[in-house]
Order: sequence, then structure tokens, then C-alpha cells
Amino acid sequence: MHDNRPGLPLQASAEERARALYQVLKDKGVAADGFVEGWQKVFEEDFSPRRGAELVARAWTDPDFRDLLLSDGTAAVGQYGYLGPQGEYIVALDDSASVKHVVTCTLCSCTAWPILGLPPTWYKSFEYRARICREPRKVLAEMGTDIPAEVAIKVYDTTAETRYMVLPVRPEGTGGWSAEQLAQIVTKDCLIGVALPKAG
Amino acid sequence: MDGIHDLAGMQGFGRVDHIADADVGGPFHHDWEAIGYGGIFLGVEKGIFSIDEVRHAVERLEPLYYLMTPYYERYVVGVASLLVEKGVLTQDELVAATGKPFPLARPALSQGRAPRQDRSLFAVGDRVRVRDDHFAGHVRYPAYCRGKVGTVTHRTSAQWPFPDAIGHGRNDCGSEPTLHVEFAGADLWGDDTDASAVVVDLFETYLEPA
Repeated sequence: MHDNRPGLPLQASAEERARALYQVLKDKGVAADGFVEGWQKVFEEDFSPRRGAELVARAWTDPDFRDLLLSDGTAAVGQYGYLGPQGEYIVALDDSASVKHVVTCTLCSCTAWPILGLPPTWYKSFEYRARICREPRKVLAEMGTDIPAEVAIKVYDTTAETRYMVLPVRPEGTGGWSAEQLAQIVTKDCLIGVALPKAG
Repeated sequence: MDGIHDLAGMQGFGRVDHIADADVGGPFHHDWEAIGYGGIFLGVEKGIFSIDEVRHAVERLEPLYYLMTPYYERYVVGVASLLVEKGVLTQDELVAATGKPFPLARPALSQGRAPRQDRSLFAVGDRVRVRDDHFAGHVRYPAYCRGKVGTVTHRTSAQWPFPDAIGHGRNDCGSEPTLHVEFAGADLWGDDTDASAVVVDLFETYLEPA
């Protein structure tokens, strides 16, 4: 199998090149057996938006924790043991009736991995990276999230070491819900800022 | 580096291929995709390169190649390029392992640079301008904010090495905080935007008093 996309140089498939790179590193003793597989397990099993959802649900139900999350996100996340690679300096963005926050990384794909999970394909797409800063309202509408005209949209471009999570507004109809119930409606897209939590 | 990777504000792209909350599966759709990120951790843990150098290596992919190559593949090639540049392995070994050419990133256009010694210190509420700076090496400001004026909304309590230095493997990286600078959408793109504001996380060296 080889890669013959027009305009690109002749090369083996991406999978063949990736596996060749890993094999050469193992043959030379640079990579230990299982090195990549170990990280893959962390990426797939530990880094998860369920963690971010847990933080949001706690903030919705505990005013002191909410204050801490908004004033020192790193300390709040640290209480849960959820700090980690690409998630060592955390800032939570406080949505309100007048402001909706959205997160991007226009230069590559930077994301708060340990609490949002690795970024999905669409977040890393050229379309999202090119458009979200300039026409966020239109992009969100196309994704099914209509933001009322009176609500300002602020886009956070992840360009240094701060890693963001959105703290969405708690929706109507969730009074009396447990933190576990609340966490269920906080999705990965809510944490990125392109979706709103829905009570029903 | 004014490369193709600096996409923000570029027009002509179609819809983002996603409906909010639709299922996207796990982080990898093929097991080999983990090799790019695994290779980053390998290089960083062994002190071969920094993650900033990985970003720069991907930025140095030939522009057409960058545009036509899926995300994880770009990181496999970026990591491979750095390992060759650092002398850990050779391109010949990669070619021998696949039996085909193994194209790598193009050489850096710059040796990088140290942070400014005379940088100003800023606080929340300050009006700042992003320096009218043009540099062929790695930088962490997107071009859309170059020369623009915004307001500081956060000064980080931590400090980090300057990307334009560590992204080139230099030793004179210093350490500085970053500032969250909020720009009005109209100050970036005039009437041709529906953004209320964009906040960019900028190293202090990139800024000057407005």
C-alpha cells in the first residue's frame, strides 16, 4: 500500500510510516517496548471529559468550589488529582446570561487533555481553526447551537500554556438534581463551548 | 513564522464537519495514530526535544503537504523530522523501513531568538499592543493580532520558557508569564466578523504598552 495523493511525494501510507518510525526507535533502543501503547492507554482511558463534567457539576452545586474554580482553576482541578500533561495551568471561563465562551487552538490543537479528553477531529480541522475566531456565531449555528444576538461570544485562542474549560450556565429544570445527574448533561462539547447543557 | 498553519481568520473554508454533541468515538480511530503523540512524550522524556520544537517542526512541513495531510500524520512526520535533525536516527533508516521515500519537514528558516531583556510588565486592565513583529522562526502569536490593541484580563501566576527560543532548542529561553489579552472582534476584522471578542494568551515579550 502506498500513498499516491496527487501533489504529494511518493510515500508509504501514514500507518506504514508511523509503524516504521516506532520500529526503528525500538530497534535502536530509544523506545522501550510498549512505550506508545502505555501512553495510548492514558489518552484513551484517563483523559476524559467526564472529569470536566464532574468539575462543572460540583461548581453548580457548591458555591465555594465554584469561586475556587473561577479564581484558581489549577487549584480546583488539583483537588481532584486531574492535573496532567497539557493540563497544568487551568483557567475556567464563566458563561453567563450575557456572555458565551468558546475555546479553540488556531495554530495547532492545544486542549486541556486531562479534563476534556484529547481533542476531536473536528476541533483540529482547518475549518474550525480558520473560522471560529472570526465568525463564531455562524459556526456555532451550523453546529446546531444558536446563541441569541444579545449574548456576546468570546473566543479563547489557546496560544500558550493556559488550558481552558468552559463553565456553562446551569440550565433551567435541573433544580434538585444530584451532582451525578448534572454531570451527565455536561458533554465534551459543552466544555469546549460549542454546545449548551440540556435538561431534557 | 508566517506559515500555512496560522489559519485563523482565513476565509473560504466550508462547514465544520460536526453537529454539537454528536458521537465522535475515542481519541484515536486507528492504533497507529497514537505513535505521533507517543513519540512526542518519548522525545520530551528523553530530553531530545521540547514540545515547542514539535509544534515548530509541524509548522515547517511544506505548505501543500501540510494542507493535504491529516492531523496525526503531521505529528508522526514532525517527530520523525526532529529525530533525524537531532541525530537520533537517519532518514535512510526510515526509508529502508518502508521501502519508499519518507518526506520530512523543511529545515528551519531561523535559529530562533531569546526573549526581550527590556520587556514591560503588565497587569490586569492594562491596554497593550502586540508588537509589530515579523520573525521567520517559531512564534506563539497568531498574525491576526499582530499590531492590535487589547486589554489584559489575566496575568498568569506561573512562568514558562519563551517559545521562540525553546522552539528552536536554544538554551537562552528565559522564563516569563503570559497575559490573556482581549481584543474586540471589530478591532481584528472590522465589520467582517460576528465575534464579540477574541482572547489570545500572549507571552510578555510580544507586548508593548498601547
